Amino acid sequence: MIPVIFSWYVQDLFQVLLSGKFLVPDLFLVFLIYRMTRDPKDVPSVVWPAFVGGFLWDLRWTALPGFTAAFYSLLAGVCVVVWNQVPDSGRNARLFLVLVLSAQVLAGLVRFISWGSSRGALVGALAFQQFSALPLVIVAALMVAAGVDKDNVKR
Amino acid sequence: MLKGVTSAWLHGLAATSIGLLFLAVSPGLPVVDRAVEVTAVVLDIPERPALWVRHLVSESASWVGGVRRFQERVRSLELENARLRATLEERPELRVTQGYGLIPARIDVRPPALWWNEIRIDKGSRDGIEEGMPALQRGFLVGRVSRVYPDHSWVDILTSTLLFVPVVIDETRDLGVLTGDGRGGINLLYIPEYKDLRPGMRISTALVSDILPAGIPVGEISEKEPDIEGGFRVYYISPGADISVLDSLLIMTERGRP
Repeated sequence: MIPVIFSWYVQDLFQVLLSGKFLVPDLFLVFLIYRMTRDPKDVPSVVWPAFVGGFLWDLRWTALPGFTAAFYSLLAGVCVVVWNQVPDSGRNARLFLVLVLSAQVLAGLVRFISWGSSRGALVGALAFQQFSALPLVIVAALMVAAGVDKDNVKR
Repeated sequence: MLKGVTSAWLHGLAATSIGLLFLAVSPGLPVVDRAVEVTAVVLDIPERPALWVRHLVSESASWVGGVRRFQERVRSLELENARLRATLEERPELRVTQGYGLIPARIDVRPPALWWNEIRIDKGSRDGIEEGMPALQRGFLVGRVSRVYPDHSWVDILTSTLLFVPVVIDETRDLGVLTGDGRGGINLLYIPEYKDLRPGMRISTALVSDILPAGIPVGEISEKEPDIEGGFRVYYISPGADISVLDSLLIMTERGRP
């Protein structure tokens, strides 16, 4: 649980640093998806932390309780479903990358709607969000690829 | 596998539905405002490192921008100065000379043992300096010429315990006397206890004085709480002049008096 809390805290620190200028990368969501690859059967430990983290995020930043909680839960749930429906042989770093990047883009779009900026700022804000999350996404994908926990990843 | 998928759908949909339900009912609820407030308070300390970094970055950016602006300003002033010099070359009758009531003087001695009491300037009786003349910096009173020699003079400064300057509070016309504490501070004495002066009120030399001309700005009342001694309030004064970094002064002659 501590790594989950820490990932939320890191995302929160990014938000403090960048609020009003850029959309922050959804590091918390990325971490939850990575965690899901290690134990895909433990659905509650992915979906409900996503809900609680999103809810806290709403209390701290959007003042719309339930907004981020809903789309974090949805994205986490969809990722778990997709990961579980793919046969063992297909559960690899590429699938992880597709899931994480899709979740990032969707989360970015939803966030942008609530952020309410001009169209010109959209491209820059989204680009920053995607690129700033890339280092973590790549590291996570490498960890999945290297089979840090082979039993779970290849299950 | 099917069980896992079903479970994921169920958990995902349940969490999403609860989130949407919250979203639908929460706007405008006082408890939400309270929760938002509490969250901000709880996260205040853990978020401080990021706030410091943000502040540091913003200060650095503003400093860099400020330096650039100053450089542009200096360039523009240099150009203006060159233009004015050219104009003076063409029209020497416009040239401003000394004798307009203010004699510039450089501080050549400031004895460490008397740091807050007196300073020596490089102008004396040969330059028209006389005992009692006010000394100014940036238009504010710094002190008073106490001893005059042919080539240099001594000036008692406001922080000296030996100089007493009658002053008036510009806003209220209350009269008092300024004197230094010999340690860099300046006090305003003899203000009755029932008078409540506010920080920021301006002070200038008073008409009742025969040692200095009236109307010279001195500074303002400091934010520091006044002391009460024998039925009078003792206010702390922030001088308009920067007494700790004095390097030159203007000595006001008879012609320069306000």
